[in-house]
Amino acid sequence: MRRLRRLPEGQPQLCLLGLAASAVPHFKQGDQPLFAFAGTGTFAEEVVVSSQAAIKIPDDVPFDVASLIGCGVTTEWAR
Amino acid sequence: MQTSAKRRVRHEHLGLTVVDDVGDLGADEVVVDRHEVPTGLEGGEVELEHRRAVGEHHGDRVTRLQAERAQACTSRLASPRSSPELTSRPSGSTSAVYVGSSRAMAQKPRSGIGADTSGWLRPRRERVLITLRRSAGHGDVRRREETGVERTRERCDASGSPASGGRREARSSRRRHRGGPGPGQVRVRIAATGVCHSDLSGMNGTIPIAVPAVLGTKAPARSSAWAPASPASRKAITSSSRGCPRAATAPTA
Repeated sequence: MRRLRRLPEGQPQLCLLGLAASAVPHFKQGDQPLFAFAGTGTFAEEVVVSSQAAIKIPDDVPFDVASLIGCGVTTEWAR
Repeated sequence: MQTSAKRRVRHEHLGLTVVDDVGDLGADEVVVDRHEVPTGLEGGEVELEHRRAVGEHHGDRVTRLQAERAQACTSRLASPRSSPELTSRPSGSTSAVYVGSSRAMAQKPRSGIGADTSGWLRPRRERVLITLRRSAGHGDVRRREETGVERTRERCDASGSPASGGRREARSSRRRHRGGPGPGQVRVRIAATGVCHSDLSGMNGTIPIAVPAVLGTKAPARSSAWAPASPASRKAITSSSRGCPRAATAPTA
């Protein structure tokens, strides 16, 4: 944690606190907590994510096209 | 486990069949795996709670190894409950039903993930492949609704009467659990989703993950609720950036 404080602003890819979001269950099946893969779990119908993990896309980009933007197009880090 | 977690689907609803052919999956077939063979399973019953889809789309390939193991597991499940092997976790004598890479799943997390996270990375158990064949004309659930743990759960809840309103009840029950968004969070409604190789790696154990989990790391979505003081947007793509608290950049352009 001490190391995190030295990170420069605007480099979330170096932050391990974000990874820790995967350690908190995001969903429930009845009383059974479910984890969200990578802190997102987008195979669900609705997810709650950090606002920093929700990147605006232009209105004219179809959803099925935008769904192909994956790790290879590091959306939030390449802006 | 909760009572609901032990709900099972009977044979006539979602039947077990032996994989007798190695090749493309049929339109009415799915291959699923489980972390372990549940104890006390009656022949022909399946605990959907443990279901994880491996390949369920028409055209997915099934390897010969997968088929052989599915065959072995199916015969084990179909055998009488008095079988001593069914009353305990599969042992070394039944290693034929193990997925070959499963041993690696129990290893400690790989370096680079961070030593502090080892506590919540549960080791994966041995996995077993079985094959389910849906009844012909079983149209109560569309194929796209077969994916995802939550959807599987819905189906499990509705298993008693597929055509009844059970699924609707399950859905409203789930909505009661909706939480957030808290400060700095946004709730988004997934409009589409891609399947990343990371999802496959999380599923087969290459990437150790906390389970049970809902997979999926990124998807275009419509924002349905922003926390107060969050920038407004109505079309967004979620990302596994996980939200570093120190990130200084704003989420919208």
